[in-house]
Amino acid sequence: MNKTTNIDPGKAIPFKSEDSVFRIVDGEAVVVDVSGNMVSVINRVGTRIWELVDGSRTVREIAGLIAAEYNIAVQTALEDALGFLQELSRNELAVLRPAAHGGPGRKNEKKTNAAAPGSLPKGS
Amino acid sequence: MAHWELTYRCNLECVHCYATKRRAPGELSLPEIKKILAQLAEANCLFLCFTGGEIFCRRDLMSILRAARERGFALRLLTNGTLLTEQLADELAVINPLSVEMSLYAMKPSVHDSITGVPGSHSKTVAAIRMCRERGIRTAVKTIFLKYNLGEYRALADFARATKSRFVFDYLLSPADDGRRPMDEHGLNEDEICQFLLKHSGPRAPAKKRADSSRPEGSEPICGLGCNTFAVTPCGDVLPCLAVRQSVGNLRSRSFKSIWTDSALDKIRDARYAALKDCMGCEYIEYCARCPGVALAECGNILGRSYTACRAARAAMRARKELNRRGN
Repeated sequence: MNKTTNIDPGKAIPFKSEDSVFRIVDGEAVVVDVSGNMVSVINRVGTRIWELVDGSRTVREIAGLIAAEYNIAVQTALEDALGFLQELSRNELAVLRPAAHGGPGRKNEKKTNAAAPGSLPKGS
Repeated sequence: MAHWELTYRCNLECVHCYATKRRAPGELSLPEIKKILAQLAEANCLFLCFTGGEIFCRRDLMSILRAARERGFALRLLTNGTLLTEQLADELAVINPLSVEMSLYAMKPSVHDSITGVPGSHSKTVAAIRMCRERGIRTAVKTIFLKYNLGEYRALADFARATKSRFVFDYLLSPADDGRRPMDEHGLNEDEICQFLLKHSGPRAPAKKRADSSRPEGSEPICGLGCNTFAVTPCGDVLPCLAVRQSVGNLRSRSFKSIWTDSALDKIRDARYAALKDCMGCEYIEYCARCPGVALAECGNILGRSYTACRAARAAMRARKELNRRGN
C-alpha cells in the first residue's frame, strides 16, 4: 500500500484527494478527478465508505461501521474496505496516510476508474 | 452541466459575437452567487462552466471561483485570457479548474486582432495560455473559423500541441440577440465549409453526426436541453441551455429547485424528433448537428428549421461524397 507499508494498514487514515469533486446521486457517488479529467461512479457500498472518509476516521473505524451497517464480519469488512481504499488511492481519488500525518496533498495525474469493494454486499 | 454567464461585459469586440448587444445592469452579487451555488450543489449539479462576456471583467471572479470550488464543482472557464495576470494565474492554479478554455482565432496577430477588434489582444491571449500551462493549469485553445482565419488551422493546431492544450474548433455561428446574422457576413458559406472539412477533417470525417449512422427515430429526444443542461444569465435568469434564450425563471425570486421542477421546462424536455416536421424527411439529417437554440433564433421555434444547420449538413454530406469518391 502506498506510503503505509510499515504501519498497520487498518490504522491508516484515508483522505479524499483535493483534486476530486463528487456528488451522490441516487445513492451512488459520481467522482470527478479534476486533474485527470476522469469520472468514476462508485456503487452504493463503496459510496458509503466514501462518505465515511472524512480525514479523521481510520480504515479500521470505517470498516467497523460498515460491518455493523451491513451485518458482516469486521475482518471481512476491513479487508474489503482496505482493498477499495487502496484502489481509490491507486486511482488518486483518495490518499492513505499514517494516523499522525497531515491532510491530503494534491496529485499530478490518474489513469483508471475506481471499482467497488469486492465481497461486500451490493446495494444497501 | 451548467453554463453560467457571469457578466455580459467584455473588453473585446469580436466581429462574430452573438452577445455584443447584451446588457445586464443587475448582475448577481457575490452573496447572491454564493447562495445560488449552494442551491445548485444541493441539486447535485457537478459540472459548472463559467462564461461571459469576459469573466475576468468581474473583479470578484476569484472569490466566485473559490466559492464554487468549496461547493465541490468541477469547473470549466471560458475566457479570452487578455485580463489574466501572473497573480491571477497563481490563484487559478490553486483553484485547479478542469480546464481554462481561451478563444484564439489565429497565430498571425494581425488576423486575430482584426477579429477581436482590439490590437494587442493576440499577444495577451497567447501569454495567458502560456501562463496557465507554466502552472499546470489545463488549457484549451478554442477557435471559431470565419472567412478571415481559414488559413490558420495548422498554425493553431501546432500551437495547441506545443502548449499541451486541447484544440477545440467550430465553424458554425449563432445568430446575435439583436437579430443580426454574423454567419452571413463573417461565417463560412456552404462551399467553404465543404472545403474546410475536406482539408482538415481527415479521411474518416466528416462523420455522420449520429453515432449509429442511422436516421433518428421519431421518439428520440432532440437534445439534452433542460434535462442534463441549463444555463444561468448574469442577472439570474435560468435558461434551458446557453443557446435557448428563453427564461424559465429567475433565481433572485425563486429557488433553483422550484424552477427546475416547474412544468415550464417539460415542453422543452419532451421535444422529440417526430416534432421536427421540417427535418424528419430530410436527406441530410444524418449529417445534421441541429441546435434548437439556433433554430429558435432563426425562425422563432426550437422545433423549426435551422438554416445554419441545413447549410452545414449539406456541406458535410458533399464532403463525405467527395471523400468516398476519392476512396477515403
